[in-house]
Amino acid sequence: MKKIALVVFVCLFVLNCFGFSALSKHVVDYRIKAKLVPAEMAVIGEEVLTWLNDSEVPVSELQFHLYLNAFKNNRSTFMKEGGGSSRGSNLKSGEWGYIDVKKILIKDGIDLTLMMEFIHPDDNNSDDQTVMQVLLPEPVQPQETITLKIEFYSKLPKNLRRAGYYDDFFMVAQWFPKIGVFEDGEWNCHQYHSNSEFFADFGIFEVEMTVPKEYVLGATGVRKGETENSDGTKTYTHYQEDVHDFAWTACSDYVEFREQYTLNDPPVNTEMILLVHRTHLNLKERFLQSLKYGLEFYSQNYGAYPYETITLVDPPIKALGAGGMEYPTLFTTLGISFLPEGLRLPEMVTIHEFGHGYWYGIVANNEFEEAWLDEGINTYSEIKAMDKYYGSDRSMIDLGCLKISDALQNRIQMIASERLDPVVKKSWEFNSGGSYALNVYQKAAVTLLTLENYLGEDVMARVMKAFYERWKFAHPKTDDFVAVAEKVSGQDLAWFFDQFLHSPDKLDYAVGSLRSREIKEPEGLFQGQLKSPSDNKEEGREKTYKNEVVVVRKGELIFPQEILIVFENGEEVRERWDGKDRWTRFTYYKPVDLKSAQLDPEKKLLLDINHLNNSLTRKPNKLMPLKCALDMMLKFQKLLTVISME
Amino acid sequence: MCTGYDAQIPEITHCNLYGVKERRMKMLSSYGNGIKRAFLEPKMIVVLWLVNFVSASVIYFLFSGYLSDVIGNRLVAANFLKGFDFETFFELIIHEGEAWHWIFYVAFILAFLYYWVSLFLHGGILSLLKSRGITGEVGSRNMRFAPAFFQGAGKYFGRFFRLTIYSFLLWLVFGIVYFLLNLAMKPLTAGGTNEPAIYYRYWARAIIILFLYFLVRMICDYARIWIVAEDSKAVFRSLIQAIQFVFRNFFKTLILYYLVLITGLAIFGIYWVVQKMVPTQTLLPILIAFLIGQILILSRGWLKIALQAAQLHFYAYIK
Repeated sequence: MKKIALVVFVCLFVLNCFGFSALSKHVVDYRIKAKLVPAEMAVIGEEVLTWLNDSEVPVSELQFHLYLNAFKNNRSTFMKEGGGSSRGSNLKSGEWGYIDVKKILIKDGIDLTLMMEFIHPDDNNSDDQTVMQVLLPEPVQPQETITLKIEFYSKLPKNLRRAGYYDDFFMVAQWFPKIGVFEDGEWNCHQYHSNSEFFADFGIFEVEMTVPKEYVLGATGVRKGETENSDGTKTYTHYQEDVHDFAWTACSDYVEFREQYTLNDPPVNTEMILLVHRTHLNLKERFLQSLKYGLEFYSQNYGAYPYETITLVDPPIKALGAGGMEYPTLFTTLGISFLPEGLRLPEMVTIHEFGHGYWYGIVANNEFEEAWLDEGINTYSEIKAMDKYYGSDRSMIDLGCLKISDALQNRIQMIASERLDPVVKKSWEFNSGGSYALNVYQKAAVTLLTLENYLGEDVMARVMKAFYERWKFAHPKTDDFVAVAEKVSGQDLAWFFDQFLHSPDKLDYAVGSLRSREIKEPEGLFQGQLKSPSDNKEEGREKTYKNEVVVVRKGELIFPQEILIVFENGEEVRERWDGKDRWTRFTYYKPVDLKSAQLDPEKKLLLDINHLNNSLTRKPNKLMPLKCALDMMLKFQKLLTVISME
Repeated sequence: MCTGYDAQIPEITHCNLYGVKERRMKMLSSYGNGIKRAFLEPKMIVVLWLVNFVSASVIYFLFSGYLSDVIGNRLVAANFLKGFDFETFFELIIHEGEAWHWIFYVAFILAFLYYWVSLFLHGGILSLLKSRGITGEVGSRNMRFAPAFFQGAGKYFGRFFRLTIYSFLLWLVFGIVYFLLNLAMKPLTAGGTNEPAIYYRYWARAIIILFLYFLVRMICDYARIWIVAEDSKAVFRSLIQAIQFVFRNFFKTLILYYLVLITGLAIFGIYWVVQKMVPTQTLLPILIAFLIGQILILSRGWLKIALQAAQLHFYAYIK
């Protein structure tokens, strides 16, 4: 037994020495040399990829994402689904983007170039070239690696979506042949869709980027080297472990700011690198402050930020199609120099995209198949952070009397939209881009806010922390989130998630009616004696009212309800209803009338699409229509005076 | 050359006696005269206010009925007494938005009709101001208000209507001017990455639009004054004469116009401060706030008369 323990100890020691103490399992190892050629708006690259078959079956072919081919022509799946104008203008001649794999070799010299073919696993669109398959001469056995050398040419599109160029601004993203994820015995390598994002395995990236020396460069990871070349270029080397993508940007108009960020609890020490476009320098402090807030909030609520750097990229105004996008240890924000301080778009986007470093970057779900796991959870986190730092009633807009919170703007978008899809669905199968965004961002976030109100803030905080802790540097699925939520809360939450993640239906409860009727005093023959109302008066009996409250379920979804009933004498009664039937009635015999009834009095059910019908009063409020109508009349009077130039 | 209008106003016959220095001061004198004249015409102000009030009261009844039906007996109604509740407002639009279409439709028709009614009243204002002379203290101050006012309104409505049609040409010309100015500014923001330039271009465009808008309104004002003062039936010619008049006295006419506009802004500023001080959560303060609003509307009527009187005064002396 002692011998076995010793062997185990030695094995662990050896594994540790060879780098297995990494935060993630390194399935991929990319070593890339890239040269930006501004005249061609292109990158010439050479990639050495080592891939580990982490499955239990031999793999006889490899699949790669060639994302830039989405911009190759108007017949790609991306263009056909999105009409070719997502996040920017339509492409013209010379503005198309593509990736051309020139050569692919196994390290021992076997040329696989002729074994490449484009496949279309999602939609059989033969014009789409965003997924490439390469047949191997011999299968890669379980836990073995294969090393490939790939030469490629990436022509960047004029800034359309996420990646591209505008003038001398370059956002180089989804730019290299990127291997898919082999899981459950098959490749998970989807085409680039109009509404989808990405999915990849963790590993190591070491990238050398050569750019004209006047360009300021930002990239994923830590800068390990910087050399000036004789041809007027500079080569930068960046290195990062435990990430699943690598993006970089170069522009001569960036102004670079670097500042160290430290936090004691939990311990965080990271360098903030801000690449602010020179026309947005007035926004620098806003970017910096919101990034600090993001670092603090996510570190304290989920886990310490684990990387040595975080780079914020601020694209120019004409390249906003590249803005608001996340990559490991680097993200793009949105800035317009003349945005007033009370309009917190730069802050919101900064916190949101930084937050993706956690939800997508570290907890790396499959964005193609279950986008809500990063977008929804991150929108929820962003709302919490925005509320904490900018005020829960004005976190999004704070302009004089116009105050709107981040939660409110998300809820309003949710209730204003059609309900055509559930939250959990493959990204490209949503009815439209709007339906995708509504569900994976707004509805998912509002669902989590509602869950928080149901479980309590403290329990929800523990759920989120536990989910992060359990699934960091891994690929969770929806069921994994549900399992963590159930375990931490100690409750069966299947009823909740089944309804709100898997159904497009609506939640809507209403107070249907209030009735209050005086009970007639006994009149007629009782045990042989004739009674009349006047007899009762003589006996001094009080009047009794039959008070009835009817609450109804107008939507298909079910949620337990709390009802606050108030009587004219100020007495309050709280009732609970499981909400399952289409309606229920509460009856009270009391010496006073009903005053009002209110469902969900604490407004916990943000998913309820109509809060207007959640209450009813017996006596109408006459003052409010008077005030608002007079106010509206006065506004119209002012308008008329403008029309007649008075 | 003395005109028919000159004949009715004794002071105008002295116009040629004014020296150059006095002429320079004329716009300030006209401004002062306009303000004073407006105080002498309370009935006119009341007529303008009354038409405005009656037109807008339709919106009151529509809106009051709508709100009573939709959230009058909901607890959220009370939120609007504390302030503006954006969440409930958005929900109203989302869930009960159908009625809003109708209210906006009615409001649009009302605004359209109001424009023509106010054009009708414009004739009354100018003809009465004319008949009472430049200072308002001569001529027919003894005449009954209503017949004089409405006869004038009726008399000039047809001509003013034609002027409105012809003024579309003016709007077109200024549209072209705006387009050309905008085109000239375009190179400043070429490439689209110079955000401060884009920002300043937006502002410049807004200022140009406002400037041209007020200029056209001012030219139309002088064309109407010409029609009334000269009792001219040649509407198009009046428009041409007004253009000539304005461009001959460009800065003076502009300054006079903007003096009155600034007066209006100052009144609005005072109103804004005062109405902020009234907490509208109970019946009496709500009514007080509404009354303060009506004083503002009355002041707009007063300002309209002041503007017309000032411009008429200026026209009479300069012409």
